Amino acid sequence: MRLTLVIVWIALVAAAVAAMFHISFEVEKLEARLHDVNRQIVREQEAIHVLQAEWSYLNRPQRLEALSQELLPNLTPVASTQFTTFARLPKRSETNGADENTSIAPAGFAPTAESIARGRLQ
Amino acid sequence: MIERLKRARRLAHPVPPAQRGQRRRPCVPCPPESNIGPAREAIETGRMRLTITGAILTLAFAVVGLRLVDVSMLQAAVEPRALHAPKTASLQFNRADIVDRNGILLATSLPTASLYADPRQVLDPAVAAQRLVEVFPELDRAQLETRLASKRAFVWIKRDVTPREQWNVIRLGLPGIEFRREETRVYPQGRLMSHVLGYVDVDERGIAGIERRFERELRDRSTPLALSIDMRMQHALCGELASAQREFEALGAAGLILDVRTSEVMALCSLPDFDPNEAGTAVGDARFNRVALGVYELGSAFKIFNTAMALDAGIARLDDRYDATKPLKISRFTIRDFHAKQRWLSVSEIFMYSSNIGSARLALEVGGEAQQAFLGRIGLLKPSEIELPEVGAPLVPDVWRPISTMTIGFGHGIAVSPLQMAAGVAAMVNGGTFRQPTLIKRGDGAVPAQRVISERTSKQVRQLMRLVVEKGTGSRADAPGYLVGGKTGTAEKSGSGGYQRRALLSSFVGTFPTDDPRYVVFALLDEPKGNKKTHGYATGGWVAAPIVGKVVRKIGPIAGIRPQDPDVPPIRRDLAMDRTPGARTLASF
Repeated sequence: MRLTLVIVWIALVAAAVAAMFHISFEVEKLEARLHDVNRQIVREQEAIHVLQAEWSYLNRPQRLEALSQELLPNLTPVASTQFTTFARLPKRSETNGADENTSIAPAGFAPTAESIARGRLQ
Repeated sequence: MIERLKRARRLAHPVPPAQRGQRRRPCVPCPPESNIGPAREAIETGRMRLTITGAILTLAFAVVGLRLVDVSMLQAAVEPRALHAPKTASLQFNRADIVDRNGILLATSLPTASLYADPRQVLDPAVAAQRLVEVFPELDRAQLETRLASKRAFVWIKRDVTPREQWNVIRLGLPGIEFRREETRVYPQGRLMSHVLGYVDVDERGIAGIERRFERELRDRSTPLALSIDMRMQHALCGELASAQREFEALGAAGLILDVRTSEVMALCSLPDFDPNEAGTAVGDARFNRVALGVYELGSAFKIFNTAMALDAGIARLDDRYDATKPLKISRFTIRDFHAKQRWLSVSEIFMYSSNIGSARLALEVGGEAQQAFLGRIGLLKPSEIELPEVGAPLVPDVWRPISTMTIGFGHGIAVSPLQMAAGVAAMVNGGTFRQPTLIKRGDGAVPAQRVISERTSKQVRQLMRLVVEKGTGSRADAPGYLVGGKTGTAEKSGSGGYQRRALLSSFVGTFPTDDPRYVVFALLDEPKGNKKTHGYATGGWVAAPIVGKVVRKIGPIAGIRPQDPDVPPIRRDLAMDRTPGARTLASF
């Protein structure tokens, strides 16, 4: 009886010790991983920081303007003549009619047909 | 041990097994014979000692156990083990970033490597110097060798090397040559923001501009500093100024865009400019900020203030007329008109034709004291409070004589910075409240406003400014749909022996849309030269007004301002002149 008790206690102690060591090693392992991950995050953040600067550098308005003029020659800044209001839009029923020349531009700003055809507005 | 004691006891006092089994507590039986006293005493002592020892041990184990609980469970909260791990949010740089109002990066600190040497560890200074010069041809070999041969423990070889250079140096494998992680300030936008941002020295200390003004804040804060500047507007303004400067071969150019509701500076450009990444290479007056630091006699644009002052004081109405038939002589000065009409002019005509004679008469009628007070209220007599270290103090007359009052009426005899000018004009058109201009992004109402003229006067000023663009000297500033209003200004630069006829400061200050102004746009060219396209003229109306017109065309869509048809009735009515009933209609309208 006593012996059983003692054995049980010894077993419990051994189990506790084993569990403790196990947990402690696991924690150490996790901490090492956390350390690595954190270091990696810092590295990534630094890389993002550098990339942000590069992004801003590559998006300089001067550069974008030059690129746009070279690669998108038909895309020019919006001219005031390109704006209109809903009130000026022709009604659906009207557009079905033969009147193809309904201008949706504000009065006085009607762009010439040629400039529309070329996709540009002066 | 306890077992052994028990066994000894059993041997000394054998008891029947049945009896022994019943006994729970080990109790020493007392035999009737008293001749075994000494043995009993010994056992008693043993028991006593055993109890005491047990108690002490139990206590000790209890203490150890408690401490174990304490260490493993309670202490952990006080001293986290993660303390040694790098924190993820700890990526800190010495200086905070600077961004524009839309969050575009304007200035940032990047990690970089700087090359240094520990001369005590350098084996052969001559060879090391030779090898390093191969990587950095710009270094002086002899000087480098003496530095590497010195007895010091630390000498800089080169600050801020590029990754490629760093790799090349590592490949040399020289002992005693090391890298130190440093930071370098980078301005991705280059020269576009030079005069706003300023620049820093090699140790990242602010030397000029925002960098210097917010030196401490930038070091302390962790979030980016947001400026009021809008990069897109800045680009539009700088681009137009630069092309005008080239076209008219001007010495310099300056311009700014101001939000009239908050007095936030949306764009600020001074030419020639410099690259803040290489501020040391700036030549001549490239580092001079013509917008905030330069003060100029801006000429006729001052008539906006003069007219507003007279209208607001109730001294004149728009159709009151003044004699502008012949030049005005006062002591040794003669005031002439550039666009002389040689007749009586109404207040609106004085403004529209930019009559110096009429303006001088208006100013005299208002009086020097009132004029001084008025100009003080719109911030023209004190340096601007903008967040820049480079702020010019206006040049004002020491003694405010009647002649000063008259010349200031049309913008001579007083020199202010373009920034002060624009802020003053913003107060004239925004309904009559003045705010100090700011370079920091603020919300509406964040900058304290001060009423300087009435709403009604402000509306009249807007109508007059629109008139100048519609029918007067500023017609080239018009941008279809954006209802630009403004005033030209052409001033002769004062040099030795009076004003120089050939050296002009041509400017234009405009606002749009005039029915409900959002922005004030100012453009100035320093000594422009007229060309064939301008028929040789280099006045504000010919060289500066087109800049404003083009800038407005570009920034209108950026600002999300809906173009309006200037001929629709509500706009006509809003911008038409207020007439006193029964007043004479003037032939010139």
